[in-house]
Amino acid sequence: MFDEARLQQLTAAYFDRQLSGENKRELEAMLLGSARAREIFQEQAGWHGLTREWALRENARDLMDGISLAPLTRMTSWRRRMWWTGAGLAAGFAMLWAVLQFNPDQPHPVTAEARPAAALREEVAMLGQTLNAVWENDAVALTAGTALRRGWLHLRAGTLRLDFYSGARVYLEGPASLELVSQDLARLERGRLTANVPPAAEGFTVLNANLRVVDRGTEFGMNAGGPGECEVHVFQGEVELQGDVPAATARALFEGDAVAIREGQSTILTANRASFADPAAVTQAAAREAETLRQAWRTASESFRATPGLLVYFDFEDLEPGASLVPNRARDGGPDSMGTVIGCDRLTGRWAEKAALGFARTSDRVRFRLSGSQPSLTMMAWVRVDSLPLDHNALLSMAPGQVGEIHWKLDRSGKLLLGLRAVDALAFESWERLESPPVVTEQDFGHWMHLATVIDGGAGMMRHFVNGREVASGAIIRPTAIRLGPANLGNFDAAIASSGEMGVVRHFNGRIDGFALVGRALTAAEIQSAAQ
Amino acid sequence: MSDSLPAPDEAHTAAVQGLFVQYQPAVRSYLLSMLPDFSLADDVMQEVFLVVTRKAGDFQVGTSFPAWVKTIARFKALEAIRTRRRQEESLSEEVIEALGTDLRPFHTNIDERLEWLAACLAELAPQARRSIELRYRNDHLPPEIAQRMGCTVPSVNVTLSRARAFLRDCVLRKMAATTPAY
Repeated sequence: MFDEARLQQLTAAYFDRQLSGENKRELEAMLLGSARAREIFQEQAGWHGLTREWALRENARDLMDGISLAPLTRMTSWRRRMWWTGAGLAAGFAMLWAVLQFNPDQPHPVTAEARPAAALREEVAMLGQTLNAVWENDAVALTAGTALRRGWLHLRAGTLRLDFYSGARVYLEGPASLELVSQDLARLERGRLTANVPPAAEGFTVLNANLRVVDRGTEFGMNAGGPGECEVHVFQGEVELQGDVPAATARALFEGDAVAIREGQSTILTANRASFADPAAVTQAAAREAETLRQAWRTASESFRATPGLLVYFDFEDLEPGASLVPNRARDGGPDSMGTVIGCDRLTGRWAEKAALGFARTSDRVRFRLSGSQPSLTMMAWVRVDSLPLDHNALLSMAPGQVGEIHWKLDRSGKLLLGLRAVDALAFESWERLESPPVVTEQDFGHWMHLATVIDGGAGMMRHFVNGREVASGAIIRPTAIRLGPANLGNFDAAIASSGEMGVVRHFNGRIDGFALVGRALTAAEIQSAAQ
Repeated sequence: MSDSLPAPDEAHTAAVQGLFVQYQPAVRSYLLSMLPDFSLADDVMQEVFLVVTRKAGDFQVGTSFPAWVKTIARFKALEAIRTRRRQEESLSEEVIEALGTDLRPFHTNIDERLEWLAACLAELAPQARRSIELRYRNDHLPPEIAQRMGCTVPSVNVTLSRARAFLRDCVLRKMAATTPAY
């Protein structure tokens, strides 16, 4: 016989990893010697496992509620563990995935979390255009369309067009340092600017040290060598000087007037329009740049058509007005794989002259059909997200209602999501999923980006890429062949949706100007090259 | 061509996976009896699932799923003990084999038990509940729990063992009270 209390004590110590060598041998002897001892041990193991199961589900629930537990230092391990907590927690599981799929080992993606309202109030201008811009130091290269907050812009070379929210339009030529103070106030420390001020923005002011240059309508130029050292040229209308104006200097300057101020002295000059940026020239140069980009794209696009395994490639170029067919540009794509446009306005793509389709209505979609199945698949699209109003903003959905069905989409918080149906049952656990951290925030709305997702059946991995950079990866737990079938770009088939009541409105809101489906897992290098 | 129905082998695999989910807590208990390290047991759990999926075709409906999955779990656990060098921590292979041949059925009314367990946890004294949470939810061992709660390791062991005994009795009592006698 054995001492039952002792057995329970040793078993507990074993489960709590507190059992020393000698005591372990004692426990082993008991278990080997008695079927009853093994029964008690297994009973205890049952409760131990049950409690652990409870704990994992509680942790999952808390994560869904956004409550932070102890710091999740072993995120990767957590993420790997998460699937098991799922059985009873189908509802509302998305949040859990969101938290657990985040992999801290990877660099944070392109953009940060959604901005609080305070950040919006900080915005004073939009970057309207950039021409050969080189930014100072490690500053993030801003692109046209970006909202600019209060603060300094340091430009090493090139030209920017700043559209102040007051309506003033400023061309800034590098090297330059300009502080955006408010929507009608900026400080030029060095560099050259041209301000075009419509009547609505009258009073727009540029500072240099303690000199205030106040526009009284239309256009002026300003060139600063440093604090307290600048020239003001009036091209049209009137400018008023305030603050530290040297004695015997006219306070009001009119069209054709110019003044240089240096070391507290002023010199009268004649306004020289030619020494400042010419808006028309800037616009023309930008157009030339766009044409260069377009030519480069044409060449790249031509060679992309021969990509091995390419199933579908839509570039939306040269669509006949009023026609609904979208040719599949894949070299080996059969005529059956042509797309059909339903709805979708024809709009401008990444640059002027590049065609895109606009998605806004619940009906908008491009429909196409493939057949067969594939162990691996790569989806890529150039998209401009204009807003994320829905819980599911579909990029692509294919083969609804079948094992191997895929859903590729963005959620409301800007996470890129992939769902691959591994099991027929209508349940949350039926899907192999991969979710990225938020990659599209409000600041990205209206900007073009390249999204790609790889399902690598051979390696058992799924990966998300944004602008050619990997932002998430995860293992495929249940290897599943991808079903090729009826597909919707920018939408999904609500009528045959297997999603129950949840989110039957899932159309995309924005533009797509390129889409490709490749029947194999592209390498990171191939995706990077496609994203350029 | 119509692809509306999954192939028979896919349906079979799905059914086997469904069984696995149903028995998941029992499989976890069995793994923890061989691998006391929570995170290692979780990893092996995933491996077991992969094998179950891959070998779903070998499982014949009508035969004992618990016995089949137990064989896989034992094999995977022994493999983990060898490759991760956990011999010090785990029971000897001889004992594990002896435990494995006892074909006790897994409990199947797991969801009900989990519900009662949650209710009983709420009845625990705050200190006891905190010990259980630190142990099971935060994966802390008694020395870490003692440090966090400002007490000694033996007193943590006592608290944990009393809490476990209370939980077991409480769940069994609640189950007995709601299960009709027939």
